[in-house]
Amino acid sequence: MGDVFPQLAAISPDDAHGARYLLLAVMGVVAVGFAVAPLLLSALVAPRKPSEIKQSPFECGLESKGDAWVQFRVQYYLYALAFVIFDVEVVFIYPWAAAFTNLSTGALVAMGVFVLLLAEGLAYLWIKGVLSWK
Amino acid sequence: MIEGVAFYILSTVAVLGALLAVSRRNLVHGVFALLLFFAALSGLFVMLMADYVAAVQVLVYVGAVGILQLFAIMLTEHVTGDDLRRLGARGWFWGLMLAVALPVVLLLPPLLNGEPPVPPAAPQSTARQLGSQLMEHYVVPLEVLALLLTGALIGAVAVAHGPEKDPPGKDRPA
Repeated sequence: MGDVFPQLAAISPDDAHGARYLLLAVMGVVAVGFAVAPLLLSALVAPRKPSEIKQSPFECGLESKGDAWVQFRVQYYLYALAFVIFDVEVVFIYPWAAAFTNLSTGALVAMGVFVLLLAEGLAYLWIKGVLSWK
Repeated sequence: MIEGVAFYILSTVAVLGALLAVSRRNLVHGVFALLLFFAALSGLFVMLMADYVAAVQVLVYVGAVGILQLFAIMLTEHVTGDDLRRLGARGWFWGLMLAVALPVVLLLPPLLNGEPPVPPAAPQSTARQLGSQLMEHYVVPLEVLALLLTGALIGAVAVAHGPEKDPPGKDRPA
């Protein structure tokens, strides 16, 4: 890569870094392979005798009604919104946790305040009844 | 050598994902292609030794933003794109211009300069350093950020939930 992008060669990972993430890459390949291999195998090996009933979508043994592409209710979206907010919270807790052993008690208090401030949002959702399924 | 191979694989996946995301008529398929792009981008961040940014990319973009977009799309009426309506797609020309202009403007000056700038020694674990920095110098911004996030959540719920006028017990279609 160095000859094509000298900039990237200058910042390419060193060996230790590369080796650590190589394992991750291998895991990714194995995970994808584990999911895709049975699909490919059954597509190649399985005998094909399609019939009306076999082609119908399986829905816990019931006959499925209507289209799968239905309009969702707005309540799902509120759950997703809350999820995004608390996911962003995790983004800040993660470096705090990584540095935890070097931090003072003040840091613990500061993160406690941070979490409590966000818990306030959760309490608001709860009181508003957004979390109860109607 | 191996990082070269990894770079080209990740870049190819990222470009293919991005192209699929804008070209699929079925919006749900488009979102899944976008998630593929986000994941490949996270791999590219790892190659730049920005492991914290890579983790954030997976946590927030692949995890949360993708889900949010899926839900948002499933809220709309026609998600499969087979109703033969088409949004006015005249923006493609300017999009293409921007896509060409951005790398030229960003990459050309350093490439023409010849000598690549010497990067500072990359830290072993960026997350650890970030955590110390966050707690030493940026505690007040962190708390303000918590307020901002809470405000965003409450505002979004207030907008999406609407005024509470629905009589209780009334069945709405799922």
